[in-house]
Amino acid sequence: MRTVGRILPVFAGLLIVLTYLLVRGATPDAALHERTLAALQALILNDAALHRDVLRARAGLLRNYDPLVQSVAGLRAAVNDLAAVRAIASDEASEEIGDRLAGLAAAVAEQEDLVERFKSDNALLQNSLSYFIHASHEFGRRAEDASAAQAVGALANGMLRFTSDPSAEAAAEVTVGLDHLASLPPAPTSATDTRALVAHGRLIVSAQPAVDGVVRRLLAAPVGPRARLLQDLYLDSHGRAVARAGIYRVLLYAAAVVLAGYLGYLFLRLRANARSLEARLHLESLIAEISTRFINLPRDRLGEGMSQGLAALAGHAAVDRAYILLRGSDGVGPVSDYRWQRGGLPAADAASDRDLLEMAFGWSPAGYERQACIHVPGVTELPAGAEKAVLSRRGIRSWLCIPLWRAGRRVGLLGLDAVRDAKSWPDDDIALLRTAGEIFLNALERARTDSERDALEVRLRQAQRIEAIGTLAGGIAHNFNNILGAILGYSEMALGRLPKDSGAWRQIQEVRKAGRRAKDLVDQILTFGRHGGHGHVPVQMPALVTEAVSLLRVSLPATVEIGTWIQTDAAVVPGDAAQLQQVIMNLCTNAAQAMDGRGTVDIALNVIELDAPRMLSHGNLAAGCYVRLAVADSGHGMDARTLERIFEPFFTTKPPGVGTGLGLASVHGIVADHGGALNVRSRPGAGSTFEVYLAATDAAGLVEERPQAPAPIGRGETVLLVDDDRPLMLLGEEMLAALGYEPAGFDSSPQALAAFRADPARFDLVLADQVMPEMTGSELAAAVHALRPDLPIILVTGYGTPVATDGLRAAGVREVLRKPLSSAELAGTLARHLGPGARPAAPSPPARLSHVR
Amino acid sequence: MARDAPIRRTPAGRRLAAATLSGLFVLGLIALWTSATGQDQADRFGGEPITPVPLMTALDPARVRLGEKLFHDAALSRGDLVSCASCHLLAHGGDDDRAHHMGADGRPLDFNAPTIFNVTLNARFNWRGNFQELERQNQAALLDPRLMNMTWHELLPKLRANPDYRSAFAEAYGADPEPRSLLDALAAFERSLLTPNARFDRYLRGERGAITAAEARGYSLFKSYGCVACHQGVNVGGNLFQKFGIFEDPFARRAAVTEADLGRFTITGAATDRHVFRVPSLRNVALTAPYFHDGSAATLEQAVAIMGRSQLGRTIPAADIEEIVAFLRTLTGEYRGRLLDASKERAGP
Repeated sequence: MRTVGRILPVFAGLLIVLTYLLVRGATPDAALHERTLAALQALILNDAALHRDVLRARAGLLRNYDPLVQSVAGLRAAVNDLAAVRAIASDEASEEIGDRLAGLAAAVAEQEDLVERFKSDNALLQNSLSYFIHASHEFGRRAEDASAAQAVGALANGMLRFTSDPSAEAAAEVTVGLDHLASLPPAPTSATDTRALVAHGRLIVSAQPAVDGVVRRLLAAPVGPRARLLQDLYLDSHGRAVARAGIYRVLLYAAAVVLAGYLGYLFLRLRANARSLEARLHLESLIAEISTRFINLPRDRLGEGMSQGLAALAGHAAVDRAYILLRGSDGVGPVSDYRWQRGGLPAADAASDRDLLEMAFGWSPAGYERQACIHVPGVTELPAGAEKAVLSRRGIRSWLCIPLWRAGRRVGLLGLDAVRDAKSWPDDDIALLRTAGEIFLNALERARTDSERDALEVRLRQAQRIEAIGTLAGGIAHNFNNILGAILGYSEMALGRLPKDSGAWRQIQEVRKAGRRAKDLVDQILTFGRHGGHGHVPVQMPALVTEAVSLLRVSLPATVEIGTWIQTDAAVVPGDAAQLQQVIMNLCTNAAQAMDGRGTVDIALNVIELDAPRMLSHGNLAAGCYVRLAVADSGHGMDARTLERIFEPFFTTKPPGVGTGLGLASVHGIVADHGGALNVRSRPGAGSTFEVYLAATDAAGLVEERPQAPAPIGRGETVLLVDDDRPLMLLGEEMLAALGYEPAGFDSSPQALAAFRADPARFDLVLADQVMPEMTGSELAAAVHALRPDLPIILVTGYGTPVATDGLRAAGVREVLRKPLSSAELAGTLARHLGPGARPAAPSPPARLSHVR
Repeated sequence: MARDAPIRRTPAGRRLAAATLSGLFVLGLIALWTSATGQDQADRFGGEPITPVPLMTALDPARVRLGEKLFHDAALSRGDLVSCASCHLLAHGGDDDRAHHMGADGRPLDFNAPTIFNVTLNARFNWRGNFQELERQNQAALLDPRLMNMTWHELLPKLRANPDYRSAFAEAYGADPEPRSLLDALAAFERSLLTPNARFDRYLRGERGAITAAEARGYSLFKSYGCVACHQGVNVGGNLFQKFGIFEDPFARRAAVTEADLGRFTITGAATDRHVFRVPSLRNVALTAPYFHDGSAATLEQAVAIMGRSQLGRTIPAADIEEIVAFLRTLTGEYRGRLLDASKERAGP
């Protein structure tokens, strides 16, 4: 519709111009021209003929007036014909020609009148002349009247002179002669003749001058000259008309040539359009084909499909490189393996790709955006700058960059490089290529979501298995715990009753040792099965790592080196410091074992900021700030199958007896309990990296939120500490000292009793382990109680509830604590039993809590 | 500028002018030749001032047929009273035998009806020569209240209602009757009314025995008395005006001079045209009595005698008149291959 509206006026205008040229270019009507010329010629010829015939008639040579009539009729017809002259002479001469024609018509009409008069008068004159000559001759011949004859003879002479020279004198002379003849007495025989002679003679005298006058006027009549003038004028005008028509014909020819050229141009344009349409169709079908191929493409062949698609695209667009660059999910550097390039071109390196990506995302030169794409037909014409440098470095002549968008974020680009020849892309092609880019991106997205889904499924399976095993193990562990309590309790009691170093005592002692090992195991099981983040406090991870490393250096073989990469000093997570320390210890122990006790374990700690959710091998992370703890070994690594199961309880790859299959399970349990996530990367023979992500927190904010009752602090009261396990005894001493007490530690109950006996008043409280070889805690308590009944005695046991409470109370035992001792529990208990003397601790920053720092 | 612009201003114009001029030259030669043959027409027939009636005409037969039908149809007059042929009897001499035909108003017409034969050979028509084209003459006769008394408004529907005319007009003109085609058809028929092969014409064409010795003497007298001064040409007259009464006034003895007697004066109003009439043709004159514009001469002998006195200033002796009349009778020609009926000659008024 719009096209028709535009074309119609052009068409109409063209038609008008061509018609105008045709009309103006037409030669004046040839037939009309001939007719006009013939009429003009007839005028001239008839006029000439008329003149001739008039003269002949006057001379008496022509006695027939038909030729005169014919000439006059010819003149009249020619004048009528010439009416056409006005129509044929279209230019400025037209008016003049009309005037001339009117003049000519008037002249012809005048001529006609003169001819009529001439015919009438000449007829009389000729008749009278012939009669006069004949009659005067007869008179002379008869000569019967001499005087009359003489008079007639004189008259005839006068008449002869008059007819040859009709002057007034001659006329007068003839008149005198006629009067004389008329006055003569008529002869009886010739009276009639005489009268007739006189009458005719008088007629000659009067008619001849009149006739001659008419003839003179006829000969002077301007018909012929006027006709010639008109003819000249007409021919002149006609010549101009023909010349003008010639010019218009040339113009018409030029218009035809222009139109033919335009037609050719239209044809070429049509053909070009058809070709470009064909190319576009081809591109469309190509894109459809790529799209179809992606739909049915298995994920593992995605890369191949991408390469093929890019190759097809590049082949169609006749470019030398086609590639897809995607920004890495951590926002650094491009991640892309999808590219195609013409053979013989140097491959672009990763740095170049990164530069290109950053340059494209930060594109600044104006005037190169087309349809939200960057279209650079000529790199050399770019203004000097980073963009030009990057593109030139890659040897690009023409560049088309199609940004790829995901959820409103620009994630990468589809790039087309023309290296050999410069190239420009039409708008329609760019639109199609954008579609192609979306298809590529969608295929990648689909592959990504597919793999995420698969990973989620795997993890779900893992989690279910871990939970199932955990629940099962937890249930069993609880029951075992009770059973073990009984076993250990009765073992201790039996030990107390059996003579030392007896066979039974030694055997019971072994039972007790085995029971304790079983108890440790059960405790571990209970650890990963436990849920709920109770008692989480802000934990300074760098300090924790440092502490753990110092412990590890002691416990791990000297052949294992430990490298620490602590990149932050302000990484705080809410959690249980002991558990978190266990995580570090377990991971490192595991790493050392994976290297067969030889190699380097790298521990890295940093804080990362995630601006998008991220999927890990074991768990997901929402966007946010995380503390990342990574433990990497250079060990033998794991295959995917192993990797899938490593956090399962009781799963181990170690020989029976070496591993319990609980270390990593505990790590998983603790991390899950802290709301963290694990990521494991490992390949057989290339080592493994375990990453722990824990939500970072603002230390100050967290403490404010969770105020803790200040731990009661002692005032230097002396506490008798007894534990046969020397390290534990030393640990206890430190704890007590930290709580503001004066610890007095012994690793043997008899020595402790001896020291008490030496100075009973020195001690304010006794803290004793129940299970000790020489003397149990309760035995010691009884002895001490006997010496100082007021002294508060606290037993510590690792085996649940002590068996005989009543006996213990009798022995002066005020309370039984469960191993392992926690500082807070200890502080509370001591404060409780040291009576009103125990005062609340002065307000102190939580950072100073002993178990934290 | 147009006046001064010479043809040779452009080469095209010059070439064209040259071509035109040479064409004109050739045309001129042809025209001169044809003109010369016209001049020689008289010489070809022994240099006589009278030439014979052409033997053939080139006319459209269909139109002539239609014209003939119209010519004889009284429907062309109001009340279907008269046709053209009522006054121009083709069997008679192309006119009637009365001095004045009765007009449509019941009064006699002004002029004696002239013959329709050889009408196309006249330069002008009617006694006063007031028409030069047959079509105009016919239209005037058709619409004259005293003649056909017709109007186009009345005539055309009448003709169109007539199937014969419709088909005849369609054949001749491819259209219904129109004034133009009707007048053309009538004129075409009238142009076909030639009477060639008069004995005198045959004599002119070289047939010496076509006329008798007396008739030949009559012709000589015709020339020597001067009759031929006016009555010349192919139609023996009809091609000039002349005053009636050069040497003697024919109206002098009349009791009253009618308006018709004033002749061409009534058309032009010029004093010199008083009593001036078109010189009538003398072809078939033996059949067209009575004579003169008013039909005042009942016989040829009377007419010749009056002519001699008034026009030639001569009193022609009776013997000469007889021979001249004998000559005049040789001017009767053939119509459609038959000599016009001379018996009517004797049936004068």
